[in-house]
Amino acid sequence: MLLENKTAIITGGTGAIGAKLCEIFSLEGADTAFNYEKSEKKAEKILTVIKENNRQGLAFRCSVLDSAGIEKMIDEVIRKFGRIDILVNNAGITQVLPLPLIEEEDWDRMMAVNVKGMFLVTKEVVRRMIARKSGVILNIGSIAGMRLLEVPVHYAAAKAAVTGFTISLAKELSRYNIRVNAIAPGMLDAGVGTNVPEKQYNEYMKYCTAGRPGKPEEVASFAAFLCSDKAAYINAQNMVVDGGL
Amino acid sequence: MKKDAKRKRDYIYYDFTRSMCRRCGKIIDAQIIFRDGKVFLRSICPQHGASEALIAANIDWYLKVINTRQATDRPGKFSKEISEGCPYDCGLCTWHEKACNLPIISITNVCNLKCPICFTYNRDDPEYFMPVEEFKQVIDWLTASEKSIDLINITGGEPTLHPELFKIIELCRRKEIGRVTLNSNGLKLAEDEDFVKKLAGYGVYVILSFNTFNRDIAKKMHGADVLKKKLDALKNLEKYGVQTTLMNVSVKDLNDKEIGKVIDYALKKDFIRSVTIQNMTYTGFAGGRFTPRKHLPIDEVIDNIVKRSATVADRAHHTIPAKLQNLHKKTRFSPDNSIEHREKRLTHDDFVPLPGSHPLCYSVCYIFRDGDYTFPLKRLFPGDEYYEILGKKYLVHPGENFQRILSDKINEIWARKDSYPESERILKMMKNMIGKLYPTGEHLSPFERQKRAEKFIKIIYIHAYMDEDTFDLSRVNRCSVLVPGIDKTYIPVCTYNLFYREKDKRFRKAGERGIR
Repeated sequence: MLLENKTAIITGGTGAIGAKLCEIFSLEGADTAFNYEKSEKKAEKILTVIKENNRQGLAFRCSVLDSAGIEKMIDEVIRKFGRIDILVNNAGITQVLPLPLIEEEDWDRMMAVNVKGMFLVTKEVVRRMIARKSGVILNIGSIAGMRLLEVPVHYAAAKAAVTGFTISLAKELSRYNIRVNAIAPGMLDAGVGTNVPEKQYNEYMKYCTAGRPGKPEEVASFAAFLCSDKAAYINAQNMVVDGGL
Repeated sequence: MKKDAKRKRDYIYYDFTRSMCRRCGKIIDAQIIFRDGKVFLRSICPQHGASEALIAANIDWYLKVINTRQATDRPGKFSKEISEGCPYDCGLCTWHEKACNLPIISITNVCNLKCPICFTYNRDDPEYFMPVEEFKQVIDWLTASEKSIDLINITGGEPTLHPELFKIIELCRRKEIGRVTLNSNGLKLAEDEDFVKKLAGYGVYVILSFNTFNRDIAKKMHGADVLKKKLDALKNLEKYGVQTTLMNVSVKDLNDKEIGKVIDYALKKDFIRSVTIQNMTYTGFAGGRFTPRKHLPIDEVIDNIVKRSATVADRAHHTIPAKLQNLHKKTRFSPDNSIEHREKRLTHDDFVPLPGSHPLCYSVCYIFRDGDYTFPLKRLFPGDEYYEILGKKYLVHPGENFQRILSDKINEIWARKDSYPESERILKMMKNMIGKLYPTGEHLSPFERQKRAEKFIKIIYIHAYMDEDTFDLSRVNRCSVLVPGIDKTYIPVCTYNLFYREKDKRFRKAGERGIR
């Protein structure tokens, strides 16, 4: 198992990628905690899956923007699991809008959840990782922040920020033996990729060598590898999982 | 002098086509002629002489629409080769130019009304109810030949009387089919609330025959005072949120002046998606004998709407770009020269031929609405892009093309705010719509997205069926309203009504004659 005896915390655990991360990380041997904001039913279902994989599971209902809630969550994970080996910053939102219709509040919300949320959770977890001089952080970005694609500009900007955050954090934390990487998924058949407008979808498929949208489990499996000791020599990278665009 | 008088015509010849003789039913030569500012179809039967029928009340309107850009959308499959010529090779033959947009399936001949306006041949003994297995064969054929169908229209007789209606509806629950529309006279819907609730559960759209708010006129059109029943039916449909179309048969000098009132009612009600106005068609067992016998062409229906519908754009004068307002001032068909009146009410220019049909068969007006804010969509898309939005089908598909045009328009409004003083409101409306069409993390099928888009519009369709007097083969050739048969055929609906239904043993006794 790739993650045997590891402990992981995954943000946005009830989303399409988040649920698969929880499933595959626990299957690979990690005790897995996650936060969620909306669906308690989904959270319960995911906890069941983790338990079926014979690992400990923890679920917290709190927003990644709620710094007090996050601190409480991290404390609880430490108390139950003893430590945090892996953090996956997965929580994120999107919004299908062209530039003229993006208002200040849309921009702020996009940046808040996708960038500030990542910052708040990371800061709280890194504190504990530095103390142990060990850890792995994986941020879920997007091809939207890297390539010439027709995507909402606020989403692209937020996902591009993930790349900058990843690289500089990797440099800053390298002396503490903490690796920081990112995955940039392409179009998936679930989550934020579900309702991509036809025009964008067709354009993506036209150039995608795989000729199909990706699956959340394909991202999650690769994430498990990146967070494992097998990927010890991979650091400060933004790894693209886009079907070959 | 005598020779000159003989050579002199009181009309202007415009075009040649093929029609039919009301008396012998044969296909005969016909001319499109202009006289007194109007357009007529002049049919010449060698045996029974010439006859004329009004096909447009205004030459300018006719010339404008007859040259409107048409969408090419050839059928997926053809069943027949050309041998006898149109309309005898129906099936479709390889000559046909349009795919099936609106399949109409009669599942019974039984009806609980005997409407004098009914334009079908419909025997009622013995009773015929289409077996479920037979319906399945039709649906299998439809989905095999057309791949994706926006809607299946189930009609009769009165289809709500079919004892296995819900089994039939269940058969339409396939990924290739967007929705079921069910025609009804409303009696069952008025009397059986549970039935309406069940229809709502199945997501069926109801097309309710609704012609008038006047009891006497209702009696003349339906043969009985059914107004209260119709209103009760509407009450039940509204209660259970059944998406509804008001089907209005418009008869000249009878109920045609009421159309504004019907449209106003529809605009106010959330559960009503559209109004379809059909001109009175003088054929079938009942319709063939109906009087007054006055043909009502599409442009005259538009006239009636323009003169009588209520306000559809409270701030329309703000939403129309300055350059477009000048265009409106130049409109030749506007019956009312008051700017205020013209801008707030529907105008002739708000109606266009449906690109997927012959321009004399269908005209359509889309009214964009978000809450209490409404305006005719054509005013926002005055150019050819409007035809692209309407597309090839009966319903608009909010797909790639729609998205591109909408995106261009959003950018234009945003960049040229001076031309669109109501730009903030329009952009807000667009944003609201996009949020509903592309919700985060919620998967919508194209059909579901189509239904969500429709919540932002009201549609007025004007559908001109043909009878023996107005029958025109050039229209049949481009018909997309088709009757699918169990023998893997499609027949254009007017051809079916005039040539085939009377030969169909399910609806006609052997040897029985209609009005001919």
